[in-house]
Amino acid sequence: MQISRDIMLDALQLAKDREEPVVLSPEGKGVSFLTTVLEMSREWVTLKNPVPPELASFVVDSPQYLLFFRSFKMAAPRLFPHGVNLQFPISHDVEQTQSRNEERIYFSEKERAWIEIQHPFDSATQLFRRVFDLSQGGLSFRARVHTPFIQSGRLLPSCEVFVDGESRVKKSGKIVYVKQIIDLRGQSYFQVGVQFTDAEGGEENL
Amino acid sequence: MNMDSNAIDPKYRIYCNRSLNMKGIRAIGFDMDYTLAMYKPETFETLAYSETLKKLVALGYPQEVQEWVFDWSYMLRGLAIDKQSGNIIKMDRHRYVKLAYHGFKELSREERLRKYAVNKVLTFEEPNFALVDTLFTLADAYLFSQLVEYNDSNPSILNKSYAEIYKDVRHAIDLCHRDGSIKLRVAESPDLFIERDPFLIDTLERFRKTGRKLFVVTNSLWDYTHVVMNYLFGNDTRTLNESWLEHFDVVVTGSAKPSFFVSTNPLFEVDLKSGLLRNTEGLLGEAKVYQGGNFQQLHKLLGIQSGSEVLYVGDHIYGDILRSKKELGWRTMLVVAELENELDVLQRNKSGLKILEDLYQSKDVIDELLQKQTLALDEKAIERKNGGKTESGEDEKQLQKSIDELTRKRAETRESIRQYMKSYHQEFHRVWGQLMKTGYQNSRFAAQVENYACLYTSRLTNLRHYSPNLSYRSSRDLMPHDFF
Repeated sequence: MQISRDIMLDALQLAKDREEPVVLSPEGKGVSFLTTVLEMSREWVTLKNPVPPELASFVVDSPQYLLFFRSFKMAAPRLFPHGVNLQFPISHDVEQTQSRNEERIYFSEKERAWIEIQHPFDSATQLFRRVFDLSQGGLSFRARVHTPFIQSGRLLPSCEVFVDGESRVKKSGKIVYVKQIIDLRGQSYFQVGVQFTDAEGGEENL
Repeated sequence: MNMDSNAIDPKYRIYCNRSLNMKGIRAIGFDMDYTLAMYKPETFETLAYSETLKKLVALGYPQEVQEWVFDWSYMLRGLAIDKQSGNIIKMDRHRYVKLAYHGFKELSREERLRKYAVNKVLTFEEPNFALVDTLFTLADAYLFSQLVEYNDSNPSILNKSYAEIYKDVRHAIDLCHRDGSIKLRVAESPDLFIERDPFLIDTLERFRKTGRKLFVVTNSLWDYTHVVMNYLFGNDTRTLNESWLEHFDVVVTGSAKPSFFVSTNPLFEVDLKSGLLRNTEGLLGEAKVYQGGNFQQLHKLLGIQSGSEVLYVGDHIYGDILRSKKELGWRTMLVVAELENELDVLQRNKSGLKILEDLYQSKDVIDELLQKQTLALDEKAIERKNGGKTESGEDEKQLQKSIDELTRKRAETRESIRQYMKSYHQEFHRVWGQLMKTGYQNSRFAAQVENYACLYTSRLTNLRHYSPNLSYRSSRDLMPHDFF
């Protein structure tokens, strides 16, 4: 869905002010980078450089770069160095992602939030993962390694999000994406996006 | 490795622990039993077992033991026999006992920890322990377990300690090997007991064509060696034919490994027709088949200057691999026949490992959350006390409730891991699990393979898949911190 530049800039400003994580994806490379917004104008957004030196040449020949922030996706044909950081040109083609356009809550590593998921292959087994962000339409969580359980399209019969032991959301969902992420410390993990499939019927306490 | 080994079925690959450039190898030696000659355990070990029972009866054991039946697939290499307690145990690479059976009854976790607590100084070595480190010793371990159970049920009949029972078992088995009970039967019908590998001659000839000297060092004596090798090289089993000797430069029988690698035992020449021995003093190099001796004489016979010019292929981690490598600097290749099954199951069972990985991640997340919550609770308690309040606030109560709940869930997750791990291991071996792993760690056997064998593979003819001048390279050593 195309949206106005002002709405997008407001969202980007909010992500910067709240120091929310944003994701930089070089297209076709199979890996994304978690970073933060340092500065922004109407033409540029300056990102903390999340690309480890050993991956720089791998990333630099990407045909296109995508920047995901809040519920928006923005594309640019190239990135520009800005000191040790990166500049991403703000384009006019900004999309709002279809699946989750509601307000998101981001959980930092310091927060004690987790998700309990009924294992899709063994209903007696509960899996625990760290929640990355949560909205009314879905959530994303982190997985250290890729296993068959995190496949795009996989139905998750029960996902329950807890913060300090308090249940916040309990719904069924479907995995809509699995992204390999490298964070600013160079650590690699998988971010798994889940779209709630019973957005109306589940229990919520957001 | 510098060639495309991915094209080779993993079961038949050669795995490299320590880099080895074959260009530097001038002589390649082989053990015979379970290396050149792969025995069929279902018949060969059953023969050894039944002959041993006869000997035990002759030693005064009750007649009824002769009716016992041997399950050749019950035991696994890498186990250890606790002679004092009558137990068979499986350890990880840290010598932590993760599985133990008394007779055929599994010890509970509590019994196992009581017996083999980590803080106890147990070396798991002779004289109180014996290692099941060759396929020959699977029958020893099985028979020992049977006798332990029998002794427990009938203490007045045997009236022996477990250590005495083990000593009797070993004595009876040695008798079988010495008096020809086993060898005569194998000589009668080798096809019943030995698997003939159709690629053996091709494999050896590939090396001979490159000028490498080939030799055999076996503890078996000439008469038996001749029978087995004659069969292996495709000759008629009814008549013995010495043509197999053409494939080797030197054959040392009755070598008494591992002392062969350290002793100065005299070397005798074997008369091929009569089997009689002749003194070799001053005549080295004129014959092809010898008995006894030591590595120095072998090096002389082969024209070897340094141990690093020799690659020795054997099946016995201690007798063949550890001593030859440690004492002489020989490069080594261990034959682990069980690898074929291990790799078959490993390929089939990948999803089992993935579910375990899912569960381990869960446990790590719970541990991390518990740590954070406990710290948060402590901080809140300090804040409250500094503020002069004695009673816990709602937020503290909620955190404590969450900690209790997570602690319960951690226990559930651990139990799930335990159950999955057990069924995962049972895919490999119904009693003892994966040969190379104990739980999630490398087994003690795997650690020994890693430490002492430069190369390892399921059968020696796998060498034919690789260039005789290949430079085998080990993978990069990684410690846990290297993953960050």
